Amino acid sequence: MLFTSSEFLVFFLVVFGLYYLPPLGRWQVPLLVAASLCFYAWHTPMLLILLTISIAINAVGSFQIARRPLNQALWWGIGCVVANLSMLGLFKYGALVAGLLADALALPTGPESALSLILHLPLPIGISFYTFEGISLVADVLKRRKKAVPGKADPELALIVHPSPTQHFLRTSLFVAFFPHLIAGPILKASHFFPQIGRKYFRDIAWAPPIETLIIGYFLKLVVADNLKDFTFWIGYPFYQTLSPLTGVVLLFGYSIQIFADFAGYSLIAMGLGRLLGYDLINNFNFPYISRSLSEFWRRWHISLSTWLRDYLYIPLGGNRFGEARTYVNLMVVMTLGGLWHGAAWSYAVWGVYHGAGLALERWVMQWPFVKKASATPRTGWPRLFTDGFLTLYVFGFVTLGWLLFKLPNGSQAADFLITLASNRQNPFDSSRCAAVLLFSLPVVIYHLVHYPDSPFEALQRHRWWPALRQVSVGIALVFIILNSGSATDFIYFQF
Amino acid sequence: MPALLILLGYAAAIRCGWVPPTDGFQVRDKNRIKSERYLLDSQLQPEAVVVGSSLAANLPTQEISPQVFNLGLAGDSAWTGLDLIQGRPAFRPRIVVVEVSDLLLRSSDREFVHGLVDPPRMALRKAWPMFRTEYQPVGVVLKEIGRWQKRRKSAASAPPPSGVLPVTERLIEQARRTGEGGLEAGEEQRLKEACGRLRTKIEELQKSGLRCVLLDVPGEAGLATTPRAKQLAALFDQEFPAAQFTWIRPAADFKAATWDAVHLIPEDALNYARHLCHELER
Repeated sequence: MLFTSSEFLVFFLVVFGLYYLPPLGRWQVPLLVAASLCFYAWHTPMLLILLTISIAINAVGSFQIARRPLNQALWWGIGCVVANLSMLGLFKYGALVAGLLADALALPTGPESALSLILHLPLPIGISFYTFEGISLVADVLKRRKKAVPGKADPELALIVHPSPTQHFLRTSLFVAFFPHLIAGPILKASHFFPQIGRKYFRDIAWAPPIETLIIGYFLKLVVADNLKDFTFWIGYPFYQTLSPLTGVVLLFGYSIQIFADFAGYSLIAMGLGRLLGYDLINNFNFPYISRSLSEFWRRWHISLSTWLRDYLYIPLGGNRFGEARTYVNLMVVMTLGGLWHGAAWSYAVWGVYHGAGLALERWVMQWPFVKKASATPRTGWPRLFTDGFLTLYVFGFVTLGWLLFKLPNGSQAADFLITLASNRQNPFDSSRCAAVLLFSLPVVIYHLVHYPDSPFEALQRHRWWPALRQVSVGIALVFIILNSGSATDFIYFQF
Repeated sequence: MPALLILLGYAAAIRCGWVPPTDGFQVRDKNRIKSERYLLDSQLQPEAVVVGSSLAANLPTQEISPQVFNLGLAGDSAWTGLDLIQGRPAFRPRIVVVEVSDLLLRSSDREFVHGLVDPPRMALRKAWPMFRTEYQPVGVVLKEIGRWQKRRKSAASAPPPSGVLPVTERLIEQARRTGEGGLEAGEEQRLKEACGRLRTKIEELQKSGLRCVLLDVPGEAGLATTPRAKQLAALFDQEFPAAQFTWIRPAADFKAATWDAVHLIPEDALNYARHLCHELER
């Protein structure tokens, strides 16, 4: 069910209405769980089996970890993580691995072959998100158990793992399946979400923030992303062959804006819906395109995933605690696996390696004495704006080039795109198409500029007219949602 | 509140004629605008309606005759156009011109059609033109930008583009290689089934008083001798024999040029549109 569909509107209004009915107050959590399962199963009921298995593994596992002696808890933790990764591995990467085996060993892949079942497994929507969430729950509970003082109750652990197994199962179901975030994140942390689970009251809803968040989210998705997709379509194969270099560059820029608007729009809608139901979801995007370094970009883009990778992969691998060489290796491993998380294709792994290499190179350059000295020297005024502007454009360019692998997952087509652009100098510049791309991208550019640190644009937020300007902007966004929405499509990150 | 005021102001501006309608900038919008005009403009009552894909949509029939409305939809097929004609029960054209090509394999875009003919949405767009695609604010702004750009260019500037691109040869060569392979496995059978469905549809339309004419849009002249092109021509001749169906075909000496191996260059598209309108008048 798409957030942008009329059926979702009806669904949400019904759920919202029932949720805040006073007689149903004590049934709020079961109601949300039931609604979430219904939401997930709407188009493909069979996928519910996998989701409920995931919930069961993580609920039972985390409960056992909290209750058992530490040595047994450790084995429960390992078992749960292996179970989660196996599920993810089978459904997401099974076909890729089976295909590789078939090619390498010349195995049959016809309908009657043993590999056929694996090669044609469906990819359950949202599996990357909810398995990662399950792993984070189990890992956090285990971490708290290891830190706990024997004989002394851990109040934070008690907030996550309810003494009653039924209640814990119900609460874990809500944690994993909560419909605003189920399909495309943000990946929640147990310590952030579990303490919020409880009775919510209609009178406690602060209406303005969630409504504004929803309007901005729907604007980014419906007006920016859904319109841009009709133009960035022409980056696909074989259409890019007719593009002039400048047209190709503008369309690629548009794709970069589209992917942000699509994903950030979804996350904002999830946040707005969550707030209306009394739950705070973490902000998944912090204006990533104003980043002045790649490491800053990864602190602003898909924050829940990069935090997960840092906490459950990078730090356990040693982080930056074992010297520079090991740090670079850790960065490469984490980013490559992070790339593969996006999809079972080598292009995503290459994308991860690309970012890993960029981060490692950046870290290495930052060690140079003159760079260290320059970074430490405070700059103000125009020199600072100039340097920051240059760095921002460099990071944006680096990231945008990487997005090409999302649009053209076939690596040879991605390379051909760049070669074709360089050789298509005789092709005419498509001014009307580029003007449209730039016009639809403008709101995202403005959205980022007004949050650019220590800039004249950011200073606007301190102007006395800012609250009125903000209200008018939200009003304009609402008008454009009504009048200028593009054709509905799945969110890009649904495929992950 | 600000949103409501802006909406009311925009609606008023459209009613006063201050906001010019657009023709759309990209495929989806052009298709929607064309379809909405056909469905919602009660004064639009053409003698003939052309339905098909981008091959038909590329023919500028509106420049030749206002009585021939081109409902060809880029990226789509004749099936969607036929569904749209049925979505306007209050009016039926006298002639329906149906593009016949391998794109008959594309089925009707039911979601697109439903979004247009759904009664509440049709009524809303009829009552409040601001909800029509041709009045989308960004489209209006882009049209003004385009007009401003044209005014800046002098009359003595470069002639209209021929349509041929430096990459055209490469695309024609790719199409030739594909054409040498003939029809794909199973494609012939699927095309025959599609032709069967089209014959049934034509019968239905003829029973309701419409006359159906089949349209053969020429492609790149140099590709007409490929096995694929020959197979397609033979198949359509067999499924729609000239003795039973009225065809509009290019003249024998019409050597079409395309810009991408598929779509006619502007000059040839105009000439063929002229030919089409002339044939319909007969």
